[in-house]
Amino acid sequence: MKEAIIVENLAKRYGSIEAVKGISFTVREGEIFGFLGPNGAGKTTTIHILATILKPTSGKATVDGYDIVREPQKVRKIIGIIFQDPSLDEELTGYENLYIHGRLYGLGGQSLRERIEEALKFVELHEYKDKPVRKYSGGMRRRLEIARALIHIPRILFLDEPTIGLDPQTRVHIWEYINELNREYKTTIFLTTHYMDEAEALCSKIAIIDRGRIIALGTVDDLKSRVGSDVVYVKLYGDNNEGICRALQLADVWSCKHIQDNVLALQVEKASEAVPEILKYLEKLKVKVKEVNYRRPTLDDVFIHLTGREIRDSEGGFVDFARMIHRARTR
Amino acid sequence: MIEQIYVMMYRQVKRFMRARSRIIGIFLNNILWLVLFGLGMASALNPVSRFILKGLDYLAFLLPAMYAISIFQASFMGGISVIWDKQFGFLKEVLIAPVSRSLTILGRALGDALTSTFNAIVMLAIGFILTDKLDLASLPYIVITGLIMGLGFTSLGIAIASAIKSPEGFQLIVGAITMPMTILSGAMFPLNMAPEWMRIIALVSPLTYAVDLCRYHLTGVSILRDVHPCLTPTIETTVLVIASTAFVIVAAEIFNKATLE
Ligand SMILES: Nc1ncnc2c1ncn2[C@@H]1O[C@H](COP(=O)(O)OP(=O)(O)OP(=O)(O)O)[C@@H](O)[C@H]1O
Ligand SMILES: [Mg+2]
Repeated sequence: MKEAIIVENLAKRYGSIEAVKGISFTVREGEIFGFLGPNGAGKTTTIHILATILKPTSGKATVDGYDIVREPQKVRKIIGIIFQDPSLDEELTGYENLYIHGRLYGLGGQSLRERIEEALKFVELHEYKDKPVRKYSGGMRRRLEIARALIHIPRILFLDEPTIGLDPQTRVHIWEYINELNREYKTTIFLTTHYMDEAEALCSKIAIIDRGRIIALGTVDDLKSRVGSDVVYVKLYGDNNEGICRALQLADVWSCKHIQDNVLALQVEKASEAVPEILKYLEKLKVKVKEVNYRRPTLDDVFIHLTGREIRDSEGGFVDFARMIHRARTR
Repeated sequence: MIEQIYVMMYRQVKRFMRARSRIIGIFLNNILWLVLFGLGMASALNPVSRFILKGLDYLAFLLPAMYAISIFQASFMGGISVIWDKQFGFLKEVLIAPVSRSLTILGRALGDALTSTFNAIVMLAIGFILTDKLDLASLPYIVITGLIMGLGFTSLGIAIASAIKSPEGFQLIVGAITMPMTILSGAMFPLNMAPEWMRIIALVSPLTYAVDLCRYHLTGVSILRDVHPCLTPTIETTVLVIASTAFVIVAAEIFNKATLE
């Protein structure tokens, strides 16, 4: 298989802020590649550089073999992009938005009309096509943006946080579209997200990005295997639990991290065997345990393992909310 | 190439047609001006207008100029849509498209020129009712002149809007430019009676030529030529075309450099 995107040492600086600090990775043709990272990690910056609307400060990247700096027009022809923030013409209807897009990409006549109908049916917006976008809901807008990006049948599709701020049902729906697109049209997909479930549901390969650097790269299973098989969370009584991780010397426990003041995250081979051991040991240390639970590792555990922090607001927290307000205002 | 100009024109015209309330607003504004200012001034000046307006009555003097001024203000203000597009995000869709930015800007300016000329023609239609001194046969010239100046001033508006980020800032600058240009253009009083320094400044503004040209086409009277015999309609048209072309080039240059930063 060929490489669809090749990125070497890409860096971007906004004045004194270094948003992207020399990242390298490749995306294979037909793959769904995900950039997973917290707010401000540099995801949007990377996607905008690859889509040629932002110039890199240094480094090199090719998209479908075309250099993004020297041949931007060629890149633009074969990619589609769905921006993080809205980019529709609100005064025009859904149909007109798609029509303008098609004409901008050199399509026209009967074939464009057919493409538009097909795309609208794909995202199930056909019956709303003559309503102005102003009257669409958030999820409908997102679907229309997906339809629009498909009009010119891009070989590579960029999606910047495709389901941000949407309700769970709509999110699952959009995942279905993305998967279908990848399956039916063999579209290579590059998406960014800070939802772990999204990365797991869609991506065949994931790069975890934090503060402008890629800190891990691989398939979901690759990444999880770095954490071990299971993660045990132990909630303790009291606040003075500083040295416990150091004191906890057990063969079964691979690593121990304080993720909150009184919560420990322990990596173990097999939770069912390790938990009794851990409890016995803690009892010996005279530490009172409030609650214990364990789960198969998630990508969040991988992130915690690598950075000691959680990917915040991953389940639609305050930041999403603040953003939605911002969107509503700028609307 | 035509394709890319066309699609942005299509978009601007569609948006214009959607904004019914705005069209009606502009229209009412124009009528109010005509009726209150035009008829008021006309009744005050008509006894002497024959002498100071080269035989025209005041309404016939004012109407062609109002046509040009209306196009000027509407197109100039139209540049603000670039700022709205940035805020509402549609600009990204244009920037990412595999088309020449110069052509999208040209299409956009043409679309706006078309709509502001259309507006002005509607206003002029009312003028034809108010006075019988206007020459209907000159309509094609008037439309072409309107499109040329509309194209130029929309481009100027787009250029300014591309450099300025906030709608408030844009409005401030546009206000500071349109007001003096409108007054100096000789739309409301005959420039040949104005002080010399004013006449000289007026000659720098392309709007002055547009106003005089429209007046010439519709009434046969050119006030500018009275002061400067060399300013024939052909020369005036040439000046206007050159100015508009320059504005289009500047707008295209500035927009070409636009990024999302
Ligand atoms: N136009 C800009 N000017 C200055 N700094 C910027 C600009 N755009 C982004 N940044 C900064 O660059 C960093 C990376 O931003 P970026 O938008 O790429 O992050 P992100 O991973 O997309 O985050 P989010 O999840 O919030 O969308 C942030 O620190 C941000 O403040
Ligand atoms: Mg982002």
